[in-house]
Amino acid sequence: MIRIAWNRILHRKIASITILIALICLYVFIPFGLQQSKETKSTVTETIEEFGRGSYDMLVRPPSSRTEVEQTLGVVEENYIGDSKGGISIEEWNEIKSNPTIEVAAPVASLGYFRGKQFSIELPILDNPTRFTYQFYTSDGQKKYPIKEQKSIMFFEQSRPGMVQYLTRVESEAQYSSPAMLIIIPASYYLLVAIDQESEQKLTGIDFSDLNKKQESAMLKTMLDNYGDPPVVKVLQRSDLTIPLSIKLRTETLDVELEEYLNKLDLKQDDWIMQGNSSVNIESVLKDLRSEPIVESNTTRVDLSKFQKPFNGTALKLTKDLKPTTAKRYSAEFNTSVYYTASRIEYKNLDTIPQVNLVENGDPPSYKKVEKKGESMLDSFDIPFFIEQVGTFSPLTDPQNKLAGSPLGIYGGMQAKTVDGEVLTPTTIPGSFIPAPASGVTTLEAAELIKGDKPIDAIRVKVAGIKKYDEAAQQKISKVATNLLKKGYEVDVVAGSSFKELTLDVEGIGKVVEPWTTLGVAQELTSTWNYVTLLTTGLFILFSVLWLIVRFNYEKNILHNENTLLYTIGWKKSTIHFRNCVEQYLLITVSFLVSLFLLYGLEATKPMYWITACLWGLSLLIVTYLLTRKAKGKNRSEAYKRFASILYYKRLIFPAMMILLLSSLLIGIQVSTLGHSFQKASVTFLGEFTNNQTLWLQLSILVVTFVLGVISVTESLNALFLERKSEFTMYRTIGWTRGAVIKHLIKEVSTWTLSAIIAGVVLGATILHFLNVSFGWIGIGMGTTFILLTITIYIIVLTRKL
Amino acid sequence: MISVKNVSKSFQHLSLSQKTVILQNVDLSIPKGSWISIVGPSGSGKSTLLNIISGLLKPDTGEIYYNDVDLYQLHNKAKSDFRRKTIGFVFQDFKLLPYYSVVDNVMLPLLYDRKKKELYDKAVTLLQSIGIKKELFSRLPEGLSGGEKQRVAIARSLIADPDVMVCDEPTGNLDRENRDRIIDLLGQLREDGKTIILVTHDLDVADHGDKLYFLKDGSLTLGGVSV
Ligand SMILES: Nc1ncnc2c1ncn2[C@@H]1O[C@H](COP(=O)(O)OP(=O)(O)OP(=O)(O)O)[C@@H](O)[C@H]1O
Ligand SMILES: [Mg+2]
Repeated sequence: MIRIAWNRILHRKIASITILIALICLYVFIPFGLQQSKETKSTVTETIEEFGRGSYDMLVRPPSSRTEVEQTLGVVEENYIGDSKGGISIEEWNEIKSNPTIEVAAPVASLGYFRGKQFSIELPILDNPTRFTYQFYTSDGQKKYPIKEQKSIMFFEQSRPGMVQYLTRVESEAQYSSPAMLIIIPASYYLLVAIDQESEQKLTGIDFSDLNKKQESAMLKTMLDNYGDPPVVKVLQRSDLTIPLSIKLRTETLDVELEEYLNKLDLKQDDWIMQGNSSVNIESVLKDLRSEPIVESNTTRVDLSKFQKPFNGTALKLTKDLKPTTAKRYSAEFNTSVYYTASRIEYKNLDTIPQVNLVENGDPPSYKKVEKKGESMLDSFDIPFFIEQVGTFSPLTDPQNKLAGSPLGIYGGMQAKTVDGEVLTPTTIPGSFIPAPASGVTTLEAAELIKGDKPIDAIRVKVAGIKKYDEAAQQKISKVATNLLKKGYEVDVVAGSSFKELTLDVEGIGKVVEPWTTLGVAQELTSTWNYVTLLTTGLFILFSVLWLIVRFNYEKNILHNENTLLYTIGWKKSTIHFRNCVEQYLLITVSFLVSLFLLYGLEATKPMYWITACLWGLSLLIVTYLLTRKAKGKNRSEAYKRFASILYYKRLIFPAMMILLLSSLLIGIQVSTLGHSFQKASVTFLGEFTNNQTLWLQLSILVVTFVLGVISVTESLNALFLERKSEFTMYRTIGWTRGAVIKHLIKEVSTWTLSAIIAGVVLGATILHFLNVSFGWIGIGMGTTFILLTITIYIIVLTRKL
Repeated sequence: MISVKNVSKSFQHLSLSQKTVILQNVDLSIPKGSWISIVGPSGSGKSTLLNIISGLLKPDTGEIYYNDVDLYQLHNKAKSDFRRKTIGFVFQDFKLLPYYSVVDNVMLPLLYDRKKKELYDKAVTLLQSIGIKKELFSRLPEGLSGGEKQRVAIARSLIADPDVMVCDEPTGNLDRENRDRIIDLLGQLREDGKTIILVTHDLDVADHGDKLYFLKDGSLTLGGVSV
């Protein structure tokens, strides 16, 4: 019997070889694909376990502090320390901190926008009388904005050391003196945040010990004495921040005599001409100066950014060629007890592109309602506090975990960019729309002093006893979160969050891309990939089972005529069935053995062998069932009017169509869901990282899918064409050209292959639509399928030997 | 006028590295409008010779001329066109497409050369002229008797109005009555001026030709003349 079966196999050499190849592909690639799919899932899980947890696990805020953006979009602005309203007292924080399930509870209290001392910039002594006209500018990285108004100083000469003759309009505060031309650099306001030194250090690893420093400069002492010893707010300045500040300077050489102007102001030869500011003639004298002919004029812009820090400036001077250097001689301004608080930004239009509108179109423009607070030294001797910069802190420039987001990270270094890629920076005024990181930190006592008894805006909590971010960890975190929720706090679990780029429409600037923190990314990633893995597994298994059924059903149909013949010559039905089965058993088993060999070569894991063995067993079962089932044959004598060949050969063609349909489903769904999930994941940093980790695995799954699809389609068409080989030779006998036969064939084959593929594509698209895959990816997946399979089919038809 | 000049053909055996010579230096001239019959034992190469004459099998040596046309010098497409228009082929086992109706089978050779309607009319006329009943036109070949099948096959070979009819044992599968009908039909065709080349091992059938050839041991010998 085996010999008879073997003979038929050999007789149908090409058909046998193709089905062998197809079976081997199935036996090797299905376990391979399943393995890859499983590996993808475990890679994602591992990545999340390792990187999913940020520096802290949850954010505890006073009740109803969630903003509309957070509620609607599920995202949190980076560095969001918002409107500094506070709401949690130091006592409450202490209670949270003492909970043993909590490892760290680090409070933040945003105090508002503060300034430090400002120093002067000294203008150079030039050889000729010169008018300096200057204007300070700040910048948001894209545009420059003038600060205060443009001013002029008329320099005549240095009559002797310590006596520089210059004239400028003095309004109120007089910081002018005769030894040098000193201009005070305008103040800039930066975000000051209060922290608890110990817990903050534990949470972030940043050294804040400078906060313990005592500052006892002579200058501070004098100030404190003069102002009735107000409390000192010690500030640590972030070391890597500089202020975007420049000065535009026009120098105009004038042909004027000092003496002439001294006379005009009724001053004597040795007098300092600035004394003339109190003269009645001053206005007309300034007017005269303005009308003096200009001998030579130059304009330069000097960038002062690198010398200026948020809470501490540097005294500067300009050399003769207008280069800035540090100066020993300076005047300073200490009016640090004025500060600003800014409201939250009101994001409009949350369903499409969130919009940020101008609140005040000043220079620079302001996007938040800014409120002035504190007491100015100029108005009162009873000032509430005095800001003193006592040291610096350096946020880790390269945090170990860039993938996990930490809203209220307060040191966030993510950049906002325009759509053209220009980096935007916060301006020197409090109203900037860019979420500013904490430029300076201070103590909680200072926060109480400035904000009152509930100064804390948020507490970042790290749960104790977590090593990796797995399911157990998630449960622990949510238990702690529930407890805090019960106490009435607003709690957001931020472990497993990541960054996501959000496009904003900023009035006056245009589209701006900002990294925002998306909550729950890790859970979503896990569930997305779990789902993709499940789908892939399901698809592969379904494909292989259906393929086996369809393929063996086809074999059975081919055998139909032969079986009738054998029956006619007196074979028993059971013998016929046995013969047919033995042939398929042989093919299946040979394929199985070859597959085992290949799997060994591919260094397959144990489960892969098991899957192949299961497929082998399944194949045997299906064959036995199908080939021993009674065939229901009804014969038809009238020809079909249309699609005659297709309907006549339906027993052979329908299985082939089924395989095409299955293949297009497999390829289409696989491409679409992988692409869709990939794209969905890549929105966040963590997701993108997992994508990079699994890229090759996913590509290999796709390759496996393509190979399975293409091979099975090739095999089924090939089998079909071999079966109808005599038909094709007949065409040639009756004198058709090869071209005519091909044309005829393409016409027929196109009809049923395309309908099968289109049916598959439509069915696939419908399924994908219900799986919520985006239209774009459905299009790509189905397009790929259609093109790939159509090309395969045409290659098979066109390369047919006729 | 068809001339077979010095044609030889042998087949390579797959297993034995050995050749079997089937035809050896065969020469044959077939005048236009004549009917020649070829007889010979099974396996003597009759079908092989017919295939060579009708352009389906290239001989190892020698040429086939249709008037001045050297058949095997034609390019593929030209050869197909030539064969379709000049030669009608009839087989012992009919070789009808199982899924096409009787009419469609007849139309098949010219399916891509002519207008459907025109072709259909011609097929119907042909079928009627060889005595196929109308109700069989839309049937599948399976539902026809052997004689009917062969007549349909002959109708198919006639659709392009070929000058030459090549018949490979057209009556081999038929009973006496059907055999006679086919012979009558071929006789009529010859009267219409067609050249007929017929292979058979039925001497009664062979007798109807102008000339009778024997094919044996690779060579062709003239057997006899009948009227
Ligand atoms: N394609 C082929 N390859 C090898 N041998 C072939 C091939 N076709 C025919 N033969 C051999 O050539 C010989 C002649 O075959 P052919 O079919 O011409 O015989 P025939 O005279 O038509 O026989 P019959 O009267 O039985 O039809 C046979 O012995 C056959 O085995
Ligand atoms: Mg023969």
